[in-house]
Amino acid sequence: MSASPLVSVVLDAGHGAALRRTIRGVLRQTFHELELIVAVPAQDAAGIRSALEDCTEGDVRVCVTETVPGLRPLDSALAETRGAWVALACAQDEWLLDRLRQQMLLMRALGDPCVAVFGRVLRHSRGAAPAQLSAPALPNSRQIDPAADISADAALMRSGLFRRRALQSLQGLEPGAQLDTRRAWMRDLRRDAIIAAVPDVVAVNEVTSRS
Amino acid sequence: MQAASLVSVILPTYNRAYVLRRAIDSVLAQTHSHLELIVVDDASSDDTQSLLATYRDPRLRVVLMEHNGGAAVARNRGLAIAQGQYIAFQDSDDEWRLEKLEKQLLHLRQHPEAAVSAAGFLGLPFSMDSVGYWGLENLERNRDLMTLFRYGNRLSTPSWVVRRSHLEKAGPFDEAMSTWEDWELSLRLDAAGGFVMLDEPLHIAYDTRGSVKFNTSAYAEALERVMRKFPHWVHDEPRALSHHYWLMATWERASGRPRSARRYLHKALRTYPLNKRAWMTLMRRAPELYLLPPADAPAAPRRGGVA
Repeated sequence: MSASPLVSVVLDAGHGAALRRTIRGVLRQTFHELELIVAVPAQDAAGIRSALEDCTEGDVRVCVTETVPGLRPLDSALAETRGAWVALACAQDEWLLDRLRQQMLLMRALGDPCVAVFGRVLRHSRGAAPAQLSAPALPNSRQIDPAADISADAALMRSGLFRRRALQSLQGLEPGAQLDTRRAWMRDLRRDAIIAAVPDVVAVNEVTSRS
Repeated sequence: MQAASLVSVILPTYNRAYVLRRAIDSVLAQTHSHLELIVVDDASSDDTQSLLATYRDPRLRVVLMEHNGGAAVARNRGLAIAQGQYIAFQDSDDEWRLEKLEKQLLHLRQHPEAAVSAAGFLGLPFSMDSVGYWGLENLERNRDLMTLFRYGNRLSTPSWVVRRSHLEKAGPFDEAMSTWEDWELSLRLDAAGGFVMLDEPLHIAYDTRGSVKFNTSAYAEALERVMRKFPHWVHDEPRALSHHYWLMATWERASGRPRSARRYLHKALRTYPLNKRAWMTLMRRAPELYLLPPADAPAAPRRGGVA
């Protein structure tokens, strides 16, 4: 087990139908210095622990945290994290294997002023809207122009790797938050710091009729 | 409990060291782990060999070709040493999702008569400015797969998982074809048991530079060879043949060869005069195709070995 993981991955299990796939995508990352904190409602904790037994591998610390009534799932999970950086995962997403390695490389290259690194998410809904690719698109530049009006949609937030201090206010990250709230959070985040994005796709978000 | 089936994954590669790790890692991380990955290096001159040397996974086998022979030759070399009951193909610039093999093996168990399970995939252009889904959603639902295959290679090899027994019945890739060899094999596999479609995106296809699929002369050669092997479908579906000629016309026009584009457009309309797309192209592009078109730009050089 890694004594001091660099990255803590926080997963709000919610009622994701494909939780096993999500967990496998995290645990099979090419970047290994991580831990996984899964926040689950108390009534679902036993089932989640059982599912985790099937897909836990290597020496990654996996922790199931029962959400405290009155406390948001992300806040419950964050109390357990030990990493210098925090990544957010969603139970509908499958992380591509190189996600964290690419984001950590960029975070280190940009140095201390960098507080968040995003990536692009492929979104696919069966039998409904065509596949989509989330913003930001950065084919030639990895650092996001401070003047640019980047999207603050939920897919973007879930693609983020954050320094801890960037997560002091989590209001904008809650799944149910309004888009305006998320935008305000993004504005605060970038006020005196760098946010950036890897140009590559980091996750596939598959929306099924059950989720 | 039933023993897990061994899957042989064949990955031909030529000078793609810059993306190869992603393709290999996505195979070795599959949730169905009972596999062998046969990487056939088609005489690459880049860092492919040093990249391959970094892997310690015993499931990885490397075949080094002495001369660049193209994707069909490389895949056949991999097939010759494959030991699995099932065969899958990976491209050096594609990325599989974790449950691809697991889901397609289950799919084949549910369809014991089928030769191939073909899954959908998400396709990203080089510009990364959009994404498309290739699956049943995009294949016209009122047509059977055989009809669709006549229109071209609708399901690329990384989307397949093939029963070895059926592949042996159909035969290997046609090594005389420098491109679209997977299309020709799909026609034979259709006759050897057919395809079943799993309508779910199980891999991501990245469009990288240097694909021979945009080489019109190679495409035309491949089409002629397919027509010789499957003469009946020209009569059964002239619309499909016309579609191919129209596609070649559009590629030639985009490549700065208006005279060649005009020739293919005429062939498209002679083959099937009701080809709406050909008429639309004719009307929209008439000035550049007919009014003093410049001399054609040189055709792209033929190359092999890109997979």
